[in-house]
Amino acid sequence: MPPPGRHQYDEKEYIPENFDLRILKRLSHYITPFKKLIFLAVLLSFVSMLAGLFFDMIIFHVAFKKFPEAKSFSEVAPFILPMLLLPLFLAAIQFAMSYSISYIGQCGMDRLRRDLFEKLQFMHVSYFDKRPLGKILTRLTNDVEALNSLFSDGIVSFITDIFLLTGIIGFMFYRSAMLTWVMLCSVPFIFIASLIFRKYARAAYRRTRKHLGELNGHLQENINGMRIVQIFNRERWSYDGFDTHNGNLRDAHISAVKAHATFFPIIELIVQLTVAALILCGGYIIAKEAGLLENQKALTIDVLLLFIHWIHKFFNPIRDLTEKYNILQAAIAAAERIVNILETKVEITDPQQPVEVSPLQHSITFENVWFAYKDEDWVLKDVSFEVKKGETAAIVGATGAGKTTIISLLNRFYDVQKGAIKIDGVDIRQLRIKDLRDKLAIVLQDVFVFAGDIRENIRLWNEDIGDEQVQIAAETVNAARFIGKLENGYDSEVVESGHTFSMGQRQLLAFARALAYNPELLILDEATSNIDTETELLIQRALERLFEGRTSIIIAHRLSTIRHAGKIIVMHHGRVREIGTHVELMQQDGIYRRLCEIQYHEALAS
Amino acid sequence: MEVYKRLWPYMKRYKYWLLLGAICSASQNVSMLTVPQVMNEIITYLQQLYQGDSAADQWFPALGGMALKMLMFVGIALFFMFFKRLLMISASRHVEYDFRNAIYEKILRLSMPYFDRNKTGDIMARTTNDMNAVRAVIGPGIMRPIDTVLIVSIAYFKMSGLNWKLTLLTLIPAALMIYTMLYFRPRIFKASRKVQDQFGDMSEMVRENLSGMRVVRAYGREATEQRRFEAMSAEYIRNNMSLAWIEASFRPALFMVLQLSIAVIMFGGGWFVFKSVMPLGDLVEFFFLFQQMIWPLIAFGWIISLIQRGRASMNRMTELLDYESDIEETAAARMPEGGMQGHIQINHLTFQYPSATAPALIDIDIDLSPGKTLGIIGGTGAGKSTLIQLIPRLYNAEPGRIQIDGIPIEAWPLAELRRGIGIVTQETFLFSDTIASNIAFGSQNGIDRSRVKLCGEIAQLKETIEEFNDGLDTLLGERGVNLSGGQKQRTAIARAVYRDPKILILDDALSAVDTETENKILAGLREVMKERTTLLISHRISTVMLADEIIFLDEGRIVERGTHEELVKLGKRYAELHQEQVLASEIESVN
Repeated sequence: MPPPGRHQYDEKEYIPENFDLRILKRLSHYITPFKKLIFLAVLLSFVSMLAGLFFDMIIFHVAFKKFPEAKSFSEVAPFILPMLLLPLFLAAIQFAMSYSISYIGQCGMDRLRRDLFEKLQFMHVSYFDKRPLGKILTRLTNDVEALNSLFSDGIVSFITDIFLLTGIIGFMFYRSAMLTWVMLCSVPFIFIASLIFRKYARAAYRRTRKHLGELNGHLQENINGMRIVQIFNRERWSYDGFDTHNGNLRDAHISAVKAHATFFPIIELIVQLTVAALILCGGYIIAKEAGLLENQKALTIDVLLLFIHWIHKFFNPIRDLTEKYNILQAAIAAAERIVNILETKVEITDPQQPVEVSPLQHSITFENVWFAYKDEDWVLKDVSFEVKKGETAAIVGATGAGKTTIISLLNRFYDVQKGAIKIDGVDIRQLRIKDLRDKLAIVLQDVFVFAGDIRENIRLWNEDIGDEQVQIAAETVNAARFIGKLENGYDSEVVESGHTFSMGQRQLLAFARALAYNPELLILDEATSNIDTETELLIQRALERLFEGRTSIIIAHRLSTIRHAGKIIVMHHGRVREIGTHVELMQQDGIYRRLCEIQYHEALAS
Repeated sequence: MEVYKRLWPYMKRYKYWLLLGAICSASQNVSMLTVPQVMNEIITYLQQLYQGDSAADQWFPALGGMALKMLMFVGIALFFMFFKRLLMISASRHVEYDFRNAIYEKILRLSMPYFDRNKTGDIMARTTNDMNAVRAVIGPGIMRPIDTVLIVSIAYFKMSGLNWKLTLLTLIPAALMIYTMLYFRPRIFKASRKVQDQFGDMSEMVRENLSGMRVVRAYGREATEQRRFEAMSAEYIRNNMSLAWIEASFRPALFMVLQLSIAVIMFGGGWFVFKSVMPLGDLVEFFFLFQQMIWPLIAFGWIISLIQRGRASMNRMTELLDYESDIEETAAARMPEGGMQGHIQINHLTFQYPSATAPALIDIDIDLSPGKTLGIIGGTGAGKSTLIQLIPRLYNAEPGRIQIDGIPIEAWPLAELRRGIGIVTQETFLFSDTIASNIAFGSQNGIDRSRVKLCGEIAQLKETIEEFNDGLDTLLGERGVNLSGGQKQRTAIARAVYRDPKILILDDALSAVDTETENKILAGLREVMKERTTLLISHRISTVMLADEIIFLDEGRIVERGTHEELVKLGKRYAELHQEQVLASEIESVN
């Protein structure tokens, strides 16, 4: 369990005090397609309740009434079959009920998960900037499970309980109204006891949560800072702090133990008092009817015993109501978080009337583009440039100059705040997102490798790209060589996050991926990390082939890569400072020249 | 059983609680199992009343007396039930507390290689989740088996006294119930394991999709990803449904066995009543005795899995408890007279991390007199941080290679060695406490506020502190103020200075501070550090240029050494780095 309050986002995960039924309603349509099956389950639940009570009645009737009074065995014989068959029947019904409820729950969860996943696929990128990934993941996994438990453990067992209670009361009233009233009299006591218990148990639970959070917080902080603790000889202090939290946690646990240890005896006491009351009341009726004929007597001993036997059956659901309440609360909280995602407005969407795309004719232009991730912290300030068809443009600048942002904007991961990005004079916001992205292929700085084999990592599960194309792409960018050395070639599995491959190999894979998609416009964010010289050479040659006759934009970190670029755009503090060819820019005594000099010294220093 | 053996040292203190709890359990169960006997009397009386054999007007005192008797036994049972739970479960919480403290004490003595190998989350899980599982073994894990054994044996004893033939008959359903549980448990376990695994795979797929989101979008693979996810989700449902199949069979099957046994027992009992070999009251008593046995029997399967889980957790905790810390003090370690002077000598030191394949430091030679400053420069992975971590013995170097005041660091008492050293680590770590407490962190005896202020001034923290409403008492961290990287570094510097160390080590401690503030801090430090030995690590030339000696580290070796002027004159790597940084600062100043 993570310590509370690690992220600000956590604070939203409160447990709501009031139920917003609208939220449950919003989610209920995930199970409405199973209306008939739900009806069947409810029906089965009803039948199972009847059969169960019926079984008890027969058993008690036979053992405590028929047998003691029977003149001959033949009076009892007809009961043998139902006594043996009812349990079988009951088992079959309960199986069917429980299985169909699971089925409904699972299918409903599946639909919900699919919708959530789909929603996230098209959610704007900035949504993910503000939220830790783990949290979003929890929505799709644990929160959906919590909803399922609300359905199968909460609602369904609630219905079953209601049936059971009404069934028992019905049977009882039928046999003896007076005894039924005696039993019902104790219900308020059970209920009040449960309420009081819940109050204490909840307080104790809150305390344990709080102290456990503190304990975990202390642990995490001190384990992470163990170096400091040990260097500064503060082991004693750290131990004392831990001891305090640990002691608080123990005390909180013990107060929960006390609440439990008190509650169960008290409930049992109420139950047994009711039993005593039933006995006395039963004795009163039996005494009163003592002189009557057998068939005039309203109360027989087997019925009295049945009442006593059913008391626990009757009280347990009432006692557990408070527990159901907890499930409900947790589920409502989960539901709220899920609905929150489903109802989030996607900020970057297709236009109402999209312009149909045509192949690139002239150029891609940035026109006075301003962009900030947050408020007015401008990352790009009034950026304008043009990349002509067939041209290779390189964007250079120190870290934090805003280079990578340019890629994110071209792809519409974000929308510009002022100005426009145009392809052949058409604002990219007027195109369908899919059409726009189909035109581009980007290679991101941090190459992302998916779990799967090499082939799928190149074509990204795109069936339209055949094996041959995959191989050609890999050969063109020199990736084929290292793939060929792998035992299973293109079928080799790539494990988690691709740690089996070197940075350089992953780069080559990403190049192959970009090439396999044969884009009109290639965008490349060069990796900054160190790559061994041999792979570096391979990458250099691969790049030359990639750029050949293709409109490309490269965010360059190693200036040696881009000497031959047709156009070099120098960014500095979010602005375009210099534009020109390598030769032109070197003649100016500007930023580009200094960047080149730095790299020169860097190369010498290492 | 070995779980209990291993836990015995911690349980020992509470053995009387547990013993008393066991006595309570016995009293509770004896008393509770007497209730059916009273019920026997009651039913026998009611039967007479029903048949008109007893005087109908006498019913109340007779029945009232019996009901009171029943309530008395119930009352006694509940009284003991309360104390049983209180004693046994509380005892388990106390053992948990002691045991957890012991674990933490061990954690505090573990050396760095352990923390490198084990993730924080794993260590935390040992002290929380695993601890919990072990605790359950002491609490319910002791209480429930005692209850079960007592209830079952007392019930059987009483039942056989009533009718031994019928008692023999109950053995069949009891055996069947145990068999049903033994049959289903492993199957449920296996199926739910599969569900969990698939759940893990599905989560992993979503995690991957979300972290690779930009690629997915850039290549328009949303629909394919959706299909991949749906296949996963469908597989998850399939696994869940096979689990549902088993679970949907388990409960009804168990229930069916139970009901059939009740049917058989009651029919058999009825037969005996019919044959007049058994009074009706005895059958009622028999039924209620059997009834009380059922749940403890069913719960037994749960206890077994609880103990199994506890055992697995115990093994993980044992692993931690048995880990031998490799940083130990020699018995002969003694503090030299006159305390530490701060003369550092490193003699042909080569060092390799336990898990590494290549050495991190090769043939390092350093002789630094008290009061002198050494600058260490080099790229990432050159071995700079490794070098300074060996001095306070966070890792063990080859004994004797590193000496302070001519004494090998291994021969210093560990606490004294570390007391003499003030380190500002590369990654600044502050505690969620007040600024004052953080600065005075190294002090064992309270906070000297004027000293805290002074150290804050040296570290150029004065203005930062003044900006906060609570000044020095401002809380830092999650529940307080979040300092910027530079502010954190400056607080860490103040913390190191507060300790008044003989040796001060700054490991890239000014990287997030602008050059101007850096110069002020360095100037302030030079004042305080006049008589102290200082090691400055940086990748910025400006930090180290005033040091008495500078070494340039590359791949664990010293490749250049000398003063700033000497190294610049040398015109090699240090000089190139210097040139590069001058140019970079020129670009920065362009607006």
